[in-house]
Amino acid sequence: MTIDLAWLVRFTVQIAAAGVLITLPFGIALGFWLARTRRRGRAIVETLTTLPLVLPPTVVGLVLLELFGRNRPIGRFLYESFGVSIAFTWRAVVIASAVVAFPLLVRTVRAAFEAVDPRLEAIARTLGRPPLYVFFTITLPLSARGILAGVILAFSRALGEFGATIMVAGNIPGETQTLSLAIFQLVQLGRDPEAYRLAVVTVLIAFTAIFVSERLTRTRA
Amino acid sequence: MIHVSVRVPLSSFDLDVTVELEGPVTAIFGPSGVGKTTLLETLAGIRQPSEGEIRFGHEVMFSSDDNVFVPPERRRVGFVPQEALLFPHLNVLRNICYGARGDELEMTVDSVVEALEIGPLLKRDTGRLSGGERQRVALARALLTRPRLLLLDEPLAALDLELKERILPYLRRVRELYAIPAVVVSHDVFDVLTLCDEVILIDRGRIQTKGSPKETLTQPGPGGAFFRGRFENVFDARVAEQSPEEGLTRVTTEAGLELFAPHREVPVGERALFGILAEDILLARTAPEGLSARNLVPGTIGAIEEREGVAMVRVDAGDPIYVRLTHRAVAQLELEHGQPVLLIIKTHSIHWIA
Repeated sequence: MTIDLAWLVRFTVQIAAAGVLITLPFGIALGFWLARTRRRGRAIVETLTTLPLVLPPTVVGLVLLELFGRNRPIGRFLYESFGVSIAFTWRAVVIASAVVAFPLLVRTVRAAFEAVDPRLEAIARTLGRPPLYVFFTITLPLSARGILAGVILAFSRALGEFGATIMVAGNIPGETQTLSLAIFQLVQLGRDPEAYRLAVVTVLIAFTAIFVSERLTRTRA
Repeated sequence: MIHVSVRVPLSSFDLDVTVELEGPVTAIFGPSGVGKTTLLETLAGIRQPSEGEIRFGHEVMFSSDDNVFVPPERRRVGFVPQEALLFPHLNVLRNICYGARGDELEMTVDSVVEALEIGPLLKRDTGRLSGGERQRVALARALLTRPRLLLLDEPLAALDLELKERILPYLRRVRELYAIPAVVVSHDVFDVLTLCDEVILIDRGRIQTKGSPKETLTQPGPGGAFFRGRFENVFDARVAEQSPEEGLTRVTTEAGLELFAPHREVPVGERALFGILAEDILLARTAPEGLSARNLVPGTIGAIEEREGVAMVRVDAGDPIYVRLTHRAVAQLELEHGQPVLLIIKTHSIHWIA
């Protein structure tokens, strides 16, 4: 096994970014709903959303395998209808990191929306603006910093995803292998110095993400 | 005309009101925490009653029977909340233009900015405004949506803000310029008497009375008692004589009451409102001598009403004048209905309201 560092870094960052971006609209919608609703179903939805955060990632991976394996309901449907395989491809890596990072996104986004005074939204509506317009001109700008923080947090979590990914996507170099999976494999093969090199790279990426988010939120304040 | 008959559940009681607001400007008066703001929110459509009906003219805004609820954005109501609630991420100009509709009529941004004197603030952040400025900006923001009804919630104005900071004088100007009907929550007798056409008194979610400002606020009972916990006699009078060297202005009411008020440079014949707190008046059965008080008003006792440790004595002296006494004073002076008495009022207990 040879390590193509540039490819590894690009692949890992792309996977994490894709996972977060795909789930962002859902995270914003769900976060807003949780922040504003007082319905009874709220507690259950909240619990279900948080579940992937507290379950062992291997369990999450197992569940995903049950859904997306080629002989499983969703997996078979996608393969037979569109010829798209999910399990043990890069798509499974995206799904695994998205699912695992989603709770962090939703929780941070929800907190950001809760910090916006709902009376501001009510006033905006009395000024003749419908709810969707109010959401995009009042709620979203006022919670932008919190949402950005949620995105960075989810991205950082997706970067380091390991357990769920290895279950549903395997550890195929050049196909589904991310930085953390590569580190695992290198250590297993006794190639510790190379593993350390990748570990340093991972730290640098995570450091950059958090540093940038701190800077962004600082300047907006 | 606005018809409201609604029930809105609140935490400790229900707001349960049925009333026709004839306006054009209606004041809502009452202690804090009795549902005044809730009533405004219900009219604005940002709070939904559990049952009832709301109509603006013939248009139904809410009806639990017919399952109608017109959302706030389609009611064309300009709501100015107590804390102004300006949008913190927008500057003043972008705040007031948030809901602005067309510029073709007389109510342009320029004219509203001029009427409310907020021109110098337009480029500012909302965080750098005083309380009065925030309310004016909120009023401008509401006006520019061309509302058919203005709702103003400002119970803090008279208590916390300087005179120049209050919003209601601006509302007076708005009323002259644009003639928009309004419902105003206010604690200020002066504002209500000079600006509003009718008054509704609310206590614990129920309407106590409704009537003209004069008759509602100048009678004791729920209305009068609300004035900072004290009752104020209010007189509509004309300036009869000026005597600046003596420091006095003589005024007379239509009913023939004559009073010496502190001197103020106002032309003879001018109309003015005066207030005397019921607790600032002395009552005597025989004429005292050697007093400094310049007003000795003869009258007869019309009624004695005792409640909650105090007695309110109504003396008919042309106009009715209410005097607040203790039970002991009433007992020791042996006051009773029909008795002739003298009211002793210091010049400086009489204050000019307007």
